[in-house]
Amino acid sequence: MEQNIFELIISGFINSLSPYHIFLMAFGVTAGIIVGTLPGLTATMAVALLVPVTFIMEPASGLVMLGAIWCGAIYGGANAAILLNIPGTPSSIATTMDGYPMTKNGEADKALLTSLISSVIGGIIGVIILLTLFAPLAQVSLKFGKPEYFWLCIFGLTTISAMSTGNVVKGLLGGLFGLLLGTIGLDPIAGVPRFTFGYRPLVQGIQLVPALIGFFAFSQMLTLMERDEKYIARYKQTSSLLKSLLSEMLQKGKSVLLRSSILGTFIGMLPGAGGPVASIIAYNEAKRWDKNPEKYGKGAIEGLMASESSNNAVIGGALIPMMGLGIPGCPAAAVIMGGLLAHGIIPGSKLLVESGDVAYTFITSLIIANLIMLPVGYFMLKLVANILNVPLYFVAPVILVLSSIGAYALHNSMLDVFVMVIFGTIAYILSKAGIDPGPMALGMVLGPIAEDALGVSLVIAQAKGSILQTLFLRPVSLILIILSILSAFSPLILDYLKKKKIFESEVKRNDSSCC
Amino acid sequence: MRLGRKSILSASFLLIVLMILVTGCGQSNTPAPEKKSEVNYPERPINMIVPYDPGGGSDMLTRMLDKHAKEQFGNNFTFVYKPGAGGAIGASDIAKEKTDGYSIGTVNIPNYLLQSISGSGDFDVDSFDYICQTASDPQILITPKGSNYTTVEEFVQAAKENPKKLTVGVPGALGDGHVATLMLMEKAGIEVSIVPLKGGSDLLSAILGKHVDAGMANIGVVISEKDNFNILGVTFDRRHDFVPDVPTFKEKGYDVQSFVGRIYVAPKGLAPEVLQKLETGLKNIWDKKEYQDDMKNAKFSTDWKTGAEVKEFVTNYYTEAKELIEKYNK
Amino acid sequence: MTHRVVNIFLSVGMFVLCAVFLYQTNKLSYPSNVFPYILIIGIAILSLMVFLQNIFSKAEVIEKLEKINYKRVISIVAISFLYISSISAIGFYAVTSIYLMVMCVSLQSHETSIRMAMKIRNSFILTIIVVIIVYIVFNILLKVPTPRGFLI
Repeated sequence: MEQNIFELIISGFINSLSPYHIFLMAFGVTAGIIVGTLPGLTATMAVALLVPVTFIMEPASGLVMLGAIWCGAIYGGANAAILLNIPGTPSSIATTMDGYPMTKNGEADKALLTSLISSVIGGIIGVIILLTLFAPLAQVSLKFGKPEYFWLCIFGLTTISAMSTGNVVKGLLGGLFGLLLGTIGLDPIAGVPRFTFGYRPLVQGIQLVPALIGFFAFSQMLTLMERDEKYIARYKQTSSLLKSLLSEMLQKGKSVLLRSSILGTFIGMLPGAGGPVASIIAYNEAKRWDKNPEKYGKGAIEGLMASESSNNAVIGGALIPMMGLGIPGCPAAAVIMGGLLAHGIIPGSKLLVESGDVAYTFITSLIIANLIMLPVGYFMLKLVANILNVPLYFVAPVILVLSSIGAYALHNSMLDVFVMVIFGTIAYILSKAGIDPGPMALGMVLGPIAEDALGVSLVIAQAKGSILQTLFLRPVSLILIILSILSAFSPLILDYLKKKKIFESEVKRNDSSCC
Repeated sequence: MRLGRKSILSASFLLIVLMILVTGCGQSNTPAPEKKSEVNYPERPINMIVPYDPGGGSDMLTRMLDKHAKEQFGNNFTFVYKPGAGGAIGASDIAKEKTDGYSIGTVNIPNYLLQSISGSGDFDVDSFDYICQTASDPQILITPKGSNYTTVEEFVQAAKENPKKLTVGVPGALGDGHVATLMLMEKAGIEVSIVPLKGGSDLLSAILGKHVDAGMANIGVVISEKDNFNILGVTFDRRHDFVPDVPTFKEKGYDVQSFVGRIYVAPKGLAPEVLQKLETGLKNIWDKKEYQDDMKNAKFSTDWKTGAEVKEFVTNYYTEAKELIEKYNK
Repeated sequence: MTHRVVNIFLSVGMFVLCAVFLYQTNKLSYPSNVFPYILIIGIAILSLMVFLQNIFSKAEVIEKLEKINYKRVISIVAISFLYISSISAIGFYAVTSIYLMVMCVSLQSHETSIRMAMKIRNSFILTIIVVIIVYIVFNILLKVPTPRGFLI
């Protein structure tokens, strides 16, 4: 059997290296980057848009193209996040936290290139893990029941204390506000509408993507336009950046890249969690393990690397339960699975026996697609960076129009466009009161997952007779609870330790000066 | 006529302002000229409203019909996706469309009926004209590998001994699996704890990970993993092709009949000739071997019902489901 | 306005929000009501903290907020609302062109070195280019639907 899999991998590589497939991948990556860069058009949408096209292709070719689009779109989201502080896809929320400050510091080139290289590395690590370990890992993902999901979300929410640099109370307030917005719509347990205030279209809830565009794009444009600044940031192209950047990344960020990619793959393989959760948690972990956590949020290259490598590693991760169990790990994987089914290929435990050649061509092509992304992305980032040289009075209105299209395109619904403008305005006002959009977005991302997980856990607890047993006393839950507590309080503890250290060193210095 | 021009201009300006005021943010539903001849129908492409995301099951099924739409209806369908609230948003939109036959859509039995009961959709059984059903997907009661319950008898027995202690996962609150479980509870006189999960994949992972005692799943969604769980019974009027050796609940003495039906509907009030043309056209496509093969490949089981049959089924189902939900959900 | 006033406004606003959601949550049954209750209690406690902190605060929080150009912000929000409300009635491309023109010209108001005619000309060129690119990218290449209205 081992021999067989090895042969499949080799033939997969050969298949995906055919000129036709290379062409499809180049096309897919380019289209993906464009869609990803545009605010509101998500990776899922990019893939869904092209599924009908693949119906007329060979199964392998169609999949190769879809995979390339997916990689491109997840990476593309970083461009808008870095240049404009607008996450192009929800997966790049964490990218804004250090990417945009870098642009403000005049390092847009460096930030864009860092995100490209990190994405490629993260993507490849994710696929390698998928290629080598998907059968056992798929079984591991099953160990995650709803109680574990709930604690994973709580763990994700503790990021708020790391995110809100100035005022933790306000950060938490923003996070809870986002969580509350996420409860509008259908009750996941009872199945009936609530918090709709009698307005029926709200049954679908406040959609994440339009709210995100509002939080970031609309409020960001308001802030910029109000300030009479002519440009978003100073920008000068830096020449021969690649070499120095590569050595800087290797020197500073080997462990960040590796850890974030593994985290991304792992979170990606938990169905329902996905890119936004992965990048936020990876960002938080990068900050926690760093010796100088205070540089994060001010343009730390490590933060950018963590976010971007983890969200591209999610692709490999999301395919693990799909290939192994027939359970897609995230919405984009679900769309790809739909494409597979349309070709009569059934993902799941029998995939390798029944259509191993197509499956391995698809998986190996993801590695090639990531490599192709390097030159394509490099060319495109040179193009998009020029937006910084356009005066703001031209950029801002165009961004607002693009945001409206993005909000509308999600569900073909004007309501979403209104949501974008209303929540953009709210976010602008709240930012004046010291509440940043970051925690709010985090709350909206995690809220629905957390609520569903808590509700289901409580139903099971009711049947089994013990909340303690169901929700708390499970090995993975306990680990996550401990991690959450550590994560929530570690900034405080570190702070305390640092003060103590400074104090001690000062005492020492005083001592030595005495002598 | 000099003056006239000016007044026309100002009148049209006023009209535009009025329209903005009247339509607001909603959709501009300009009243349609209804007197179009039904004889030449269809003269232009038909809008097909899919209340789900592109790439999903409903989209794929309809795309397979669309492959042959040109020869039947002169044009391919124009796909309009209206996802949101599990299909309730799109279904509301279909019900509000013009009744000229150029806007039809696909909904799933029984989900849109249940949305109407739960209050998440502002439509009911009578908001639609029914064209046909092309495929159906019954539920199966499954338990994880290694479970003590491998037959319907064992399951019912255990549930009787431990009322409300067994957890049964369903693919969504107030969805088809939920109601099928309620039907089983009613017919077998048992009570179980229903665990509403997020869709078929979520249910599958809960079963494979043994997080619930049993699950009421749609065959199509979980069939590829059928070696990794036990199948107890199927909620159909006959044994199902995918699992021919699994008994129906009816055989076991509990008449539980529930399935997801992929149906095509139009807003209420279509001209009978137009409705008939749509049904005939879709039936012609359905009969094609290529279509049947496509469906088989994608693991959809074809099951034709005429518009009249669909209407009769949904009317009965609606009454039964409403009673059950009111009884068990307080 | 000082930070103190803003913070007090914020906490009061959050209290109102809590009250509104609390009213609806009371109608829900277990276990659907657990999650909303947790959130409402959390927001209420945090708002109370902000409120008390600012009522009894010392000078540090009373410093002035940076100056906001209210007129500008309000007019941008108002124009944007007008824009999106008229899309479905009049038509996406028509309204978008007007919106882009109006926004570009008015945002240049502080650019005293550029003549009005130039401003209008540049904005016009930009509008045309953007509308054409949007049409090509969204409607032709990506086939993403743009909002539709009375005129295209």
